[in-house]
Amino acid sequence: MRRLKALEIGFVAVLLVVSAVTLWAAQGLPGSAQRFPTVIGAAMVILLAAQLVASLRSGRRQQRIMDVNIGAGVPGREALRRGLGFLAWIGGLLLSLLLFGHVGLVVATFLYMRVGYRERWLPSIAVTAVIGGVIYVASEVLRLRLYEGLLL
Amino acid sequence: MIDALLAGLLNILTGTTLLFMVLGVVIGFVVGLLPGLGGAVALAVLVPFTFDMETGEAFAFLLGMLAATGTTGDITATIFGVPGESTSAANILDGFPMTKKGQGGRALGAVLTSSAVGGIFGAVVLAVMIPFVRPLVLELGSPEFFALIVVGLMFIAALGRGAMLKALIAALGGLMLAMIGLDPHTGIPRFTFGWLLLWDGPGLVAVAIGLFAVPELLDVSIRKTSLSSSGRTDVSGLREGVRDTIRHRWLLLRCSALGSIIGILPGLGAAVAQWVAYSHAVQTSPRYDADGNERFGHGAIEGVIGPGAANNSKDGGGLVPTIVFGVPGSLTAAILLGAFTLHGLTPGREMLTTHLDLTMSFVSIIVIANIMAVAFAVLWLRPIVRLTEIRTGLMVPPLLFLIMLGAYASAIHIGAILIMLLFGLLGIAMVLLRWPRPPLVLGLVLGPLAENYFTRSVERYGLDWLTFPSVLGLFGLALVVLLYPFVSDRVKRRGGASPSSVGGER
Repeated sequence: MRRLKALEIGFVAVLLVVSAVTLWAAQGLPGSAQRFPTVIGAAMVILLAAQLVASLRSGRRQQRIMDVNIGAGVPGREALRRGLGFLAWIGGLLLSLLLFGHVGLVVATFLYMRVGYRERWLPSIAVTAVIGGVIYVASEVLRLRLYEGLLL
Repeated sequence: MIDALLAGLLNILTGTTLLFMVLGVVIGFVVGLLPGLGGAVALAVLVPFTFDMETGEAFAFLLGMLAATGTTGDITATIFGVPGESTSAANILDGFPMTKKGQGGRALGAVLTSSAVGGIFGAVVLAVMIPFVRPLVLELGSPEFFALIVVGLMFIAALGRGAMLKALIAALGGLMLAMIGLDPHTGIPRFTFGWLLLWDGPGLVAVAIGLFAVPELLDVSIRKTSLSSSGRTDVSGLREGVRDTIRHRWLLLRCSALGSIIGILPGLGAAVAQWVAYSHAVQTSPRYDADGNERFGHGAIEGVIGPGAANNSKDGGGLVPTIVFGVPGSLTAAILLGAFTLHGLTPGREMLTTHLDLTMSFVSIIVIANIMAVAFAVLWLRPIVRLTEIRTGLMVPPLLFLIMLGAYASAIHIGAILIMLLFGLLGIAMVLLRWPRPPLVLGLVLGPLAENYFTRSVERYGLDWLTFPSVLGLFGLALVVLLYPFVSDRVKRRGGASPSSVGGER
């Protein structure tokens, strides 16, 4: 809980700095271009300052909003391991896309199923064929210009 | 007006528009069954694929998909006790107990019929409201429209009771994000860091996918559960459920009306509608059975009919403020509003004059798509329900692939994926720290409109517009909306009850 509170304070502080910098940068804009950013930026700085005070003063009371409860029911350490694994695979998918384009993304998706989740060959190949079909429809039917990658 | 309605209907039934609507319904059907991909996320992912479509085709596709997700989300809630999306959650309360008692087919028959009737009711509300609000809208100027946007934002902030300040900050954050890009009046790049991609802003699609899809997929991948692990797929007895719905027709109509009204109120829509309808069903139906046992929560058919109807009727109602005032009633309406902009449509006067045929075609699309969704459900229920047995390992990787493709397609630029992932991290942080996400997207969608009306008001009237009676009245309403939760909590505390916290999600 204490760690969450520290994260919350850090989060608000970062937002406050970003808003203050935006407000300052808006003053360099000419004429009407600065009007709306100034109004909204100033309001944002005031509200974030109030939120920072509220976050600093709040105890263990947690605000309840109806939202996803990420990893509810999974022990903390295991949830963290799976969460980091998920983020690492996203990084892998992005890297393969950057290097080999959308073809690389399809291959990486197959690897995610086969290696990341240890799915069997047949369903992994079947799902990969479906997403290959999606890529085909996107490029040939919908005329979407696919990314070719840095190495291809 | 009737001419426009007929012209709109004809537009749908001719050419490729009908085909695109069928495609949208089919996609919405599947999306509604899968967890992690709600109607809003699917809408955000699919909007880029409509760039090359005609405007009518694009909205037939998008609205068809949206109508179907509402219907099929109820199916998983009823059969497995896991809602396909958050707007179907109330159906778990009585639908799932009915399934456990071996009455899954009956519950499905009731929920599908009530969904169809609710959807059609919402469309009729949209058609009926437009002639009444049209003269009003044509009288409004930039100051009133800006004030209306402020009212809409306050409604959204007020929903985050217990986190109202956070909701307000998120909404303003969305407005700030909307400032990134070329200034609409001077054409000067603002906050673009020299990045050409940002000249058009961060992009609603990439932001919405990142904020909503990434945290949901993270949750699914951590929990590693498939839907079917929680239930069984007995779907016989549909007709009995249809007969139940006809028997409770007045409840059906009342809950449909409730859903439409809640859909019209900005910020309230979606998830709230079903719970209000459920409460109404509980309040107006016998609470105990012949043996004196509590009926609700144990498989009362009224508890299935009410939320099912409201869940679909809110969509038609939600389109009223979106089309007429440019103030979306829910997250899905906000993304739809973004789609309007992408297709060169401006809500308000233009949608009620130049594009009235298109606006009225939305009514026909919602009606036809709802009927289609129910027909598909009845015909293909058994094979489609098997989709919910898909394991996490076969679901998460392809969905990640799809959201990356969707983000890329929104700008045909690899940078859009980076923006999506950045907002994915922000979404995860917001979920963990209990910050409401929808206000951010609503702010982003309303940003360009708000700035446009604000700048026009200042340039035309200086600061005098702030003293217009209509503007003062609307700002007063915004203040009332904002202060109401504080006052009601204080009154409750004095009465000895603890203050409630209501969520602001979707």
